[in-house]
Amino acid sequence: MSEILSLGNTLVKRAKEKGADEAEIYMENEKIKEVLVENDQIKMGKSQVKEGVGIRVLIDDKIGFAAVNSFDKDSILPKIDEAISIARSSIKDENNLIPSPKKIEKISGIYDEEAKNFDISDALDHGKNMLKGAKDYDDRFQFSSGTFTSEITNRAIVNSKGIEEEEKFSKFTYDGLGMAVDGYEVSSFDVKRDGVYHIDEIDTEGLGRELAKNTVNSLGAKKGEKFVGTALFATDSLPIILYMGMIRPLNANRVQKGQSKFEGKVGEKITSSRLTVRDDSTTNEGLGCRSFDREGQPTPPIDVIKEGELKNYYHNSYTAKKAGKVSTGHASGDASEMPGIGPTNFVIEPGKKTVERLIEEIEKGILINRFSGNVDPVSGDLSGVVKGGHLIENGEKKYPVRETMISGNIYEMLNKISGLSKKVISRPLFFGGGIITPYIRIEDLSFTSE
Amino acid sequence: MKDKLSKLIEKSVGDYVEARFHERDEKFIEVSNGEVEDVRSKLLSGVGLRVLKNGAWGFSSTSKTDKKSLKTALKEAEKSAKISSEAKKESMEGLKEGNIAEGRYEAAVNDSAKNYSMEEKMNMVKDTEKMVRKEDEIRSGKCRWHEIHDEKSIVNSYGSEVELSDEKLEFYVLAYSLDNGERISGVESTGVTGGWKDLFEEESPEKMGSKAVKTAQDLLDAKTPKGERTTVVLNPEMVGLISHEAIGHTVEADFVLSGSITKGKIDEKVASDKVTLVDDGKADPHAGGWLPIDDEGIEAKRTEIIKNGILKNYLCDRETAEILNMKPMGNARAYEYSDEPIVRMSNTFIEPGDYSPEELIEEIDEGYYLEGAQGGQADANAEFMFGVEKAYKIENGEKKDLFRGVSISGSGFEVLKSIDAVAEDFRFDMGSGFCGKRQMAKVDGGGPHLRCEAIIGGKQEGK
Repeated sequence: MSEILSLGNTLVKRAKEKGADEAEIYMENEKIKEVLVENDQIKMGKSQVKEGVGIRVLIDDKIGFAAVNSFDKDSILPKIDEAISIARSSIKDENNLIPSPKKIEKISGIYDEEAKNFDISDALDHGKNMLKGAKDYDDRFQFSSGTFTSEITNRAIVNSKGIEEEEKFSKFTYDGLGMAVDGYEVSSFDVKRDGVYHIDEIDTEGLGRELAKNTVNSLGAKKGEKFVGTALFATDSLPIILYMGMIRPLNANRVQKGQSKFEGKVGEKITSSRLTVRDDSTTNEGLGCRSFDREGQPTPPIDVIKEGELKNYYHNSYTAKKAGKVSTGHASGDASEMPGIGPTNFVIEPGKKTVERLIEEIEKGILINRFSGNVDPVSGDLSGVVKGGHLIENGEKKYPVRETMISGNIYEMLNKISGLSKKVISRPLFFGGGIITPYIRIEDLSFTSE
Repeated sequence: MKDKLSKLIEKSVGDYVEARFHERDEKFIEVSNGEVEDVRSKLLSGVGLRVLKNGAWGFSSTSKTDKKSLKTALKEAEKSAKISSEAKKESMEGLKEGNIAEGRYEAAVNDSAKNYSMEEKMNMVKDTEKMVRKEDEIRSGKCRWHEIHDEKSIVNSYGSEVELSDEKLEFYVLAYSLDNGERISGVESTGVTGGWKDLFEEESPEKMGSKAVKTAQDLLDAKTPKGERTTVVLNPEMVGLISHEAIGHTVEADFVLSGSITKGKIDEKVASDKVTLVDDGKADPHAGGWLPIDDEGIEAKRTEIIKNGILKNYLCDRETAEILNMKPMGNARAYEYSDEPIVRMSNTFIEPGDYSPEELIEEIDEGYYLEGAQGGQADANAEFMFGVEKAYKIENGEKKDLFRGVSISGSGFEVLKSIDAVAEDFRFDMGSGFCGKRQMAKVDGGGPHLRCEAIIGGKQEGK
């Protein structure tokens, strides 16, 4: 048995001895090399080793949780006592449980053996590549900030029901934020994030180039106008909208608390039949791959929406028990928090048309490069500002627009999908997991400008 | 720990070196509809080491504080700084020194939350949430408790040797009512630096619960407005939000250097001459953003960002102060031991004027009174859009009908320029929130009531 699983077993035993009916120990060890870019320069190199232990105990159907950032037993043992004391003062809930083991199919392709030799100087090269990609494209781009992070994470879980699982992955994520400045004119910010599991797939230069391209192309923006027309959401505008408007409402905890428009809609048509979505923890194209979830449960691929019909919610053990179902394996989070619920890879099936074709078919609309705003997690009301938008008229991209706001309702919008692109991108989601999405074209959206 | 860290950095090869021990003890309870949504106790402890070499930084952190682990971490930081410096185009001589802090600082805590057991806190959260749900029209409720205890020792090669003991508490209640399937929320929240008695000094948990319920009930009958540019009176919470989000971020020196809208505008008129906008870590010992010293060991001072409408200062850390030839005033903050200090706000506010809040309203023929900030967004060009919990129509100098689903938008500086009257009242009212900028930070904001022009929008126009 590995050292980390052995520690987990010792701690589970200790929690039981101290009075826990059941106990779960989740452990993470991360080795991180990071480079920060700021104002067109390398700002800092960072090197860190992080440890985390999350202790969940169950006493008389009551849950207690405590966490500490150390594998040192002297630091952990008092936290076991605290988790137990919290459980004793908590609220009884018969749906609380520590789950039993199930067969785990280990996925491959998420750990690059070379990652252990990845040094701060390698990270630095990628920081430089981001800058180079941007500046080579156009010197008017100002790289406000960016990060390149390499991490090797070893995660393990042991519980009193017999779960003992361990998994290692490497991940290289990078992001950038900047704007184009031409004389007195400053474009909107653009933000991009990307990530891969393998060193040879890293494309930091490409990320820099894309950032520069988008912001430079949005220079010379003219004031928008008020009209109802077609919105073509570019891939990078979608992760935040889809997270707020679709992924969160699929969380069974929200559904059970009446905080989701998808409540009671399984088996019903909730979007245009053009939309098919699955959650797939096994596709190495996505950045949310894993063999087991935060509770040690398997995460097999599931259908989420099939041709517009809602198929499944995301469950952890608690919400599954409450609903009389089996966990879908979507318990999420790190060692510092109780298991929540989140996606693995949210995969939207691509369409058949090229992006160019999607544009050609638009009479009047806006290509939305980035969306900055809110989607109400309950009603789905969406309002925000189009960043780096381009006016489309009679099938042609005309000019960049500014000060254009969109408002509508995400659920009504999803029923007005008129096309999806062949092209897809894979992006890490800010709150964990990944998304693979094409461009999505939506009809009858209201655009306003002051 | 302070001595241990001082000894550690003595022989560092860095041009500047800083060591910061930070232990954070955090408790969190959230109950929703009678169920425990989240409960946790978290201990985060470790040392963050930062080294400057030829103008580039190296950072390393470790959760182990024995001599050997600390030495290894320092070496890692030195190595990262050296490698980064080889790639840095522009070098710099050093950093601005600022008001070097020494000694020990302790938050003014009236009845520490440590005096209460988790059981007592759980009961308070449980009971408040239960009380909310019992009321007419209320379909669901949520209640949250959050406490943070920080102990820090900060030493650096510029002579800072300082310790900080801090306690920050927050309490939040939410009530939901339902109108034709639309969920209407009423929220009350409070956050302070200090103890239990400081947190509930103005209002008890029960009173906050009742107020949240009343908002969720009152908003059931509210209409949504049609979009228009109009005269508005902002309450102190809205003033704090705009000061922080729409203006404050644009004067953070790191954003300034990367081209924010305020770059090169020092000594220019950017607001109405009635506006003096300040950031001050020591403005009020119980404000949520109380911060007497920052993580570069600098004593916090009052920074007048805008004085009588003229832009006077940016918010800097030691490095950006050197570049911009300003003074660091205590705005370098790191959220956890494993984070490096970056430029952040503390308590950001507009100074009071001489109107009474009533006068602001009496002089308006048609407009809105806005209270209760909700989520939103702001850009580096100061354009912003925020949700507003409650908007009252003002007609012929009187507060009339209540509206919901309201948003306010515009350019932060255009809004500041349009301010024609500032009231004499004042309060901090953002202490329950966090600001996110790569890392989190506890901040506060506020001001007096004030009157300005802004764009009002509704979710469903003209309902």
